[in-house]
Amino acid sequence: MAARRASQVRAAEFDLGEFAGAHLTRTRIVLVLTVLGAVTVAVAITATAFGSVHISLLRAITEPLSPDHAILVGARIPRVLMGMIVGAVLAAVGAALQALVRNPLAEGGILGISGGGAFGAIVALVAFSGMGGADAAVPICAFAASLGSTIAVYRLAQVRGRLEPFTLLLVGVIFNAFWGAAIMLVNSVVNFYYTHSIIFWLMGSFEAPTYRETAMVAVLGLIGFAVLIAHARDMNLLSLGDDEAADLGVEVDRVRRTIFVATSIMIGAAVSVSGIISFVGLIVPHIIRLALGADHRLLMPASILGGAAFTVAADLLARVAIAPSELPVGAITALCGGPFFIYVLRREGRKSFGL
Amino acid sequence: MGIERFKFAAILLAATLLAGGCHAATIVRAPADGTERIVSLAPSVTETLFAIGAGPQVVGVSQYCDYPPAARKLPSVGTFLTPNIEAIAALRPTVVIGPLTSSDLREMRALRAMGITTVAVGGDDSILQIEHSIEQIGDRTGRAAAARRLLAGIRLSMRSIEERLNRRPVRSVLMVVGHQPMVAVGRGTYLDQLLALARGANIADASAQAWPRLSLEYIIASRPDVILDGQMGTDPSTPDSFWLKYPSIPAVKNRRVCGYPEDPTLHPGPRIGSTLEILARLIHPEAFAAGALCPKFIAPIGKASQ
Repeated sequence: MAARRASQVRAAEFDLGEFAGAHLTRTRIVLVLTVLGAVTVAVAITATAFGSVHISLLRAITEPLSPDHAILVGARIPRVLMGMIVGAVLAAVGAALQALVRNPLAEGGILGISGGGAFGAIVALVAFSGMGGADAAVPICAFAASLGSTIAVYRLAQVRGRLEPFTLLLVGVIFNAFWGAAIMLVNSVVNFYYTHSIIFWLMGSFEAPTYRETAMVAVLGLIGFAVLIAHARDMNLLSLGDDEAADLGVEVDRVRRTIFVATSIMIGAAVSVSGIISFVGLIVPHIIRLALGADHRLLMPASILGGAAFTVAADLLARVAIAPSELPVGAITALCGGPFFIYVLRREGRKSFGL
Repeated sequence: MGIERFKFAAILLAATLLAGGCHAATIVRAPADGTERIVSLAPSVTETLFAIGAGPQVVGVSQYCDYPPAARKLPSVGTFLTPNIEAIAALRPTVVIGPLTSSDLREMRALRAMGITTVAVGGDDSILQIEHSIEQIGDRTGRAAAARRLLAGIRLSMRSIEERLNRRPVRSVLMVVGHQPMVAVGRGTYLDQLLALARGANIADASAQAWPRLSLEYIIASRPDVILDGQMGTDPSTPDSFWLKYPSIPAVKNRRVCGYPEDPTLHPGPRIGSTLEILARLIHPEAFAAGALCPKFIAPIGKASQ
């Protein structure tokens, strides 16, 4: 018995080495994250300097009454910040859920949480329209609805008191489809005047967030990042299978619940202000995994930085491509991310595609 | 994204089919006396039919048709994008009049195959196109003279507004359907033309699109004198705090951010004369006698937030 268990542990360690790609040292983690951090900062500065109209950064800072100042402080900075935080949340949640349900297709949308959030937003939008207060009520209702959806998925996905990955995935997919149908039902019974707003929530946007909203998502996001990074080792072991992870000392049930609750709250916060932005949570962790290996101690923080950089870059393109009009950022993330992902997959996939 | 959209579309289709199946419509016998039985698929068509006296011949309308009040009592046959052919066929219409966008739909082809005449009106939603649609509907229903009288009335009311604003300065205007997303009235639409007639310079003309989704940065940089925001609703007691975040915009600073009523403003039909008056009053309130300021339509944010 002891011998069998020891051989299992050895096998698990061997697999872990394979997952990690290259040997993971503290130096390598620091180096990779420094480079990625520098890229993210550079993208954020570029996105702050450029936009649909040209502004003088000098005048924006020195003349607080100039339109340049209003554009920088009122429109551009909150938008870049929101893009960074939401992109980071989506990518981190994608990486965590792919480990949690051991499925490469997992991302925030697949657990039905963002669909619930969008539904809450749309119902609030229709209900409060013409009564005023819609701007404040919509994110609150979206967050409440995504949490409600989370609780329902969580309860329904339990089998004999355990959170089953397979059941969780199926229940999530069903909820996703259900909320999509509910949104379309609302769309077909309300005045066509709401169609733009409904599409706004389905396609996602970082248009004109308030600093309060940005701060709320940032606080929930940062707590979530801390929880997910703290469980990076557990995610590595969960990827091997529940029994193997348990043998190696992971409290599988507790870890799974913690990750599920953390990712749900993160996605709920993101969707409540920016709508459904798909694809970021799917492709960013995969590209990072292909490039850097599947060790979550590096994958998780790298996905956070990569998600922020990718989303802000996509949003910059959405802002400037047909200025003064805008494109939906969700369309850009999918259009640019998809082909790039296939390229990386074809080039790197043969040697290191882990999942 | 793609997969989810497909899922939504599939479920929407299923829901539509289901709703169609559940709809209990009584089949009406075709009239023996040969009078027209008209189904309208758009609010503007319905309004025109009633305005030229063809109201009694209208037997079915789209679910969006809410004007005049008599139209609300008529059976609903879906929307101009999803007309319900069973509901339409059950009404035994002699003619179905819809916007040009509907003319290529499978449903319309199916109706034509059943021997029902379909008429497509409109197109780019310009004033010229609206006038042409009114003429077309008049010709098609044998009420050409009534249509001409209606058009003359519309032109007269529009000219009187133009004359009233004759020497007023042109003010830069932003007119949005809503601010989340910031979908603006753009180049070539009837509302764009009405803004110009109301001596407003539409800042959204910089975009080539008819309904551009404008960037907030561009709006701040364009410094509009007046902002008309449809998302604010029409109740002056409920101000919207959204614009207060951008006090550098003259319209915000000078409390010239106003809501406007969705009906008739967003209806490209025979009430464009009233729409022009609403826009004129919002852009140049001082040109109209005090007290005639349409208080129901105007929600000056500063005043309402007190």
